[in-house]
Amino acid sequence: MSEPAPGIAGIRKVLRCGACGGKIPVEAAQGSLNCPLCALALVRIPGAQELHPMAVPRAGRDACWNALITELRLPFEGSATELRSAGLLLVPFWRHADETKRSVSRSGVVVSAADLTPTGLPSLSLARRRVRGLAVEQTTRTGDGMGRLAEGAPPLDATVVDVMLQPGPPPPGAAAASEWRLVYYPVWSFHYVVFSKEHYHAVDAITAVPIGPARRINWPLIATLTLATMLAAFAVAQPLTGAAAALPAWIAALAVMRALIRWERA
Amino acid sequence: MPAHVMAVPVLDRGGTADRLRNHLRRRAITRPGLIEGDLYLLPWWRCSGLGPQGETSFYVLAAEVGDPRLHRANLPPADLKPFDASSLPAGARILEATQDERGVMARAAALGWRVDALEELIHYPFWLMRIEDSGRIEGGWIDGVEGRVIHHTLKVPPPVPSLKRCAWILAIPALLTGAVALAFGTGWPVPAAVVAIAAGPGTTRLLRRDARKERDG
Repeated sequence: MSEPAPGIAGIRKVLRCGACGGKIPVEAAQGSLNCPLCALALVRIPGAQELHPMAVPRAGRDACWNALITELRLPFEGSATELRSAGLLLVPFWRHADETKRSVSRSGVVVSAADLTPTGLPSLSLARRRVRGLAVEQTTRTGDGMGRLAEGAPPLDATVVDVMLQPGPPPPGAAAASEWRLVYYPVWSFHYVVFSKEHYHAVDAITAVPIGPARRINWPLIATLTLATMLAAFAVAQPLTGAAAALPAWIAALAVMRALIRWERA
Repeated sequence: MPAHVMAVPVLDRGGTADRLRNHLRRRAITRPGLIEGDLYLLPWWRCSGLGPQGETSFYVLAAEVGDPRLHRANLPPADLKPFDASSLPAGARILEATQDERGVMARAAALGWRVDALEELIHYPFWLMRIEDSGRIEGGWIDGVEGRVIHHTLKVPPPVPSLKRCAWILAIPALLTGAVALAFGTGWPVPAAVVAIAAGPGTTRLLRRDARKERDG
């Protein structure tokens, strides 16, 4: 068997850029690269003929773990909290946008292409387009926002999550030229133990903000709004029922408190 | 060419939801609301080599679903038949095997296992359930054959105060407001407002203390 010609020894395949459609020669072991044509960072999926755009992680493991510690005020006395594992995941999302009208200020529709709720990453859908702490829609509006892989940087050590969900029909009001496109977004997944109880949480690897379930509930806000409701309900009912107005005021406050807790958690 | 087979799903959505609810009840987690989910056929390689307990045949997940707990799942025995996507229940989602032999070996090595050969590709049913928990949707994996392999993140005690606890917490300022109205007659608004303002920090503290219990156990 003859030796390959110098210069093309590492090239094994020509794959297509999922953003611009250009043909890109890719080395066998190359997992991520910048598209030489459209300059977007691309990730390679094993067995796929297309490279998909990805947002380049900006926040490291320590920064994200510290953000989670701060957010949840994790206890450390007597080694109460122990980090078991941390992994950088490239999570697929379907983005529906008119490519001819991309801009920083124009939002697109992003839905999850993989369901990672068991590990603490809530799913995006047409019915639920925002998850607190997850900036995938804002980050993927433009190529500049998604970032570039640095020249000469070590290969990205990330686990690429498989596509589990196919996109549904186009969202209402979508332009005819627009379509669903796959984009990969980096998320740090932390598995840790607090007082012998296992926890899984995800942190946005672009903004270093804990996602969804990691968010603290705003208890002062809940208490303030609940007591204000109680006072208002009492003021309304007092001229009619006197001191017994405390009963409807209590019920109204209870209903508001439960609704606020549910709203804050979701 | 290794054989490609599938395990026949036994549990339907309702049965899986029941099993999951019972599993949670046994752990005193009685608060979940609606439980629903989707059936996935996850690909596993039956490998020969050296497993975690000295066994010579074990399973390695051949796809990446982002949950490390599934990498070391011990699959319950199931009826196997040649893979036939048309015989699956409507709506079942089939995940292709995306991990090649090198990837499977690397994954097994990371777990401390040794893969000598890939014997058989098995698509095994798993339900990905969505569980409504105090307003939030949590997720859980449960196998679709025996309903025995279960991975979720729900905890006991509950993450927020119960309805009963909220009622007790709010009963104090409500009673005080009523008492103020009795004591001050028409001049009640100012002292009632003072009661409400004074109750704010106390209520916040009680709610915070209760919420901390979930984390600390």
